[in-house]
Amino acid sequence: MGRAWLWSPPSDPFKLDLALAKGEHGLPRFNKRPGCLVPRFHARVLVSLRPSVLDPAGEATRAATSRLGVEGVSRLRIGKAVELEIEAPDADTARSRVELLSDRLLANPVIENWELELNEIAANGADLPA
Amino acid sequence: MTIGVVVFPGSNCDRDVGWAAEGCLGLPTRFLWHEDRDLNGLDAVVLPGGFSYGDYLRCGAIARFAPVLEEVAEFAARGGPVLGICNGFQMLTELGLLPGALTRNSRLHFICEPTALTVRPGSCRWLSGYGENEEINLPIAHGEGRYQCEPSTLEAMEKSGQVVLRYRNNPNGSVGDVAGLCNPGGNVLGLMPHPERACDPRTGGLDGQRLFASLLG
Repeated sequence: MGRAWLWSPPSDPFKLDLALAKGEHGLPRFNKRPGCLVPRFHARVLVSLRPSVLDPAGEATRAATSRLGVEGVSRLRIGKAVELEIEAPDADTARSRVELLSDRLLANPVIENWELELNEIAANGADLPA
Repeated sequence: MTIGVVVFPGSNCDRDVGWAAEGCLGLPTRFLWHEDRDLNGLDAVVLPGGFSYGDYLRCGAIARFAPVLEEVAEFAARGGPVLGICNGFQMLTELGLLPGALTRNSRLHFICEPTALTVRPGSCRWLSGYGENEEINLPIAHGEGRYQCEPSTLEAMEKSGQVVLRYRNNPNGSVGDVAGLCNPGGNVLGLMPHPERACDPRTGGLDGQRLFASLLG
């Protein structure tokens, strides 16, 4: 049973096609009129240690590369990738919200740098080209 | 005189601090849940060691947004004494109450051992019971205690006497052998060693006791 009764996909497939044809993307909202879509964005924030900060885990991993028989790895730094999806009225708003998150929560600017990739999500769930 | 000890999900030194303060020195202690906002009646606040919220993302990064810490930051701004031990020190840097950050130990190991330190109390009110350049021993227990900051920040803090605790045999690769820092006002102290584990003669050493006793004036 679960929450299936809360929302079920529109029975009329023509409606969905219409939304696609108009270039509207994202999830339907329950608290708005049917067919009203809020754009959804996929963000990938890459957090890396600033070059001046020692990365002992990266060094230990680099030492293992030659033990695997791969020579010539001169530098290896370990960071992290944070993937998130966010609803926002437009790409600029989504970008500024994720930038705030990256600066204040996802990375610590004292020791880390970050880069942001942002794409709108199409109705079929795939990233639209930026 | 009542000391507030903040308890986060994942704190594991909160009761040790309670024992050191109330059990060993008779200082009344009140435990504060991380969602509390009421610091009324408290004369000092301790952020204890542990792994707040699992220490996901970075140590102290999620705790920094705990409701109680907003109040603690205001308390500190009014000159209230705040002590951050280990994970608590990490929170103070994430909050920006102390500069820099604490990162993975240079040799990657979690280190749990007694450590020799030099104290330079300066104007730090938590360390008023220690002599200038006094050598003490306190246990450390951390995997991410390598203090890191810009060289210019370190230089400024050394000049202003904020580097109040130094390792004598740097165990984790901290810049400037930094083991503990105080804010310019002297009321906020963050340190990686555990003074609360050196307050009871039955568990080894009494070098941490004067830190809590400083609250008695």
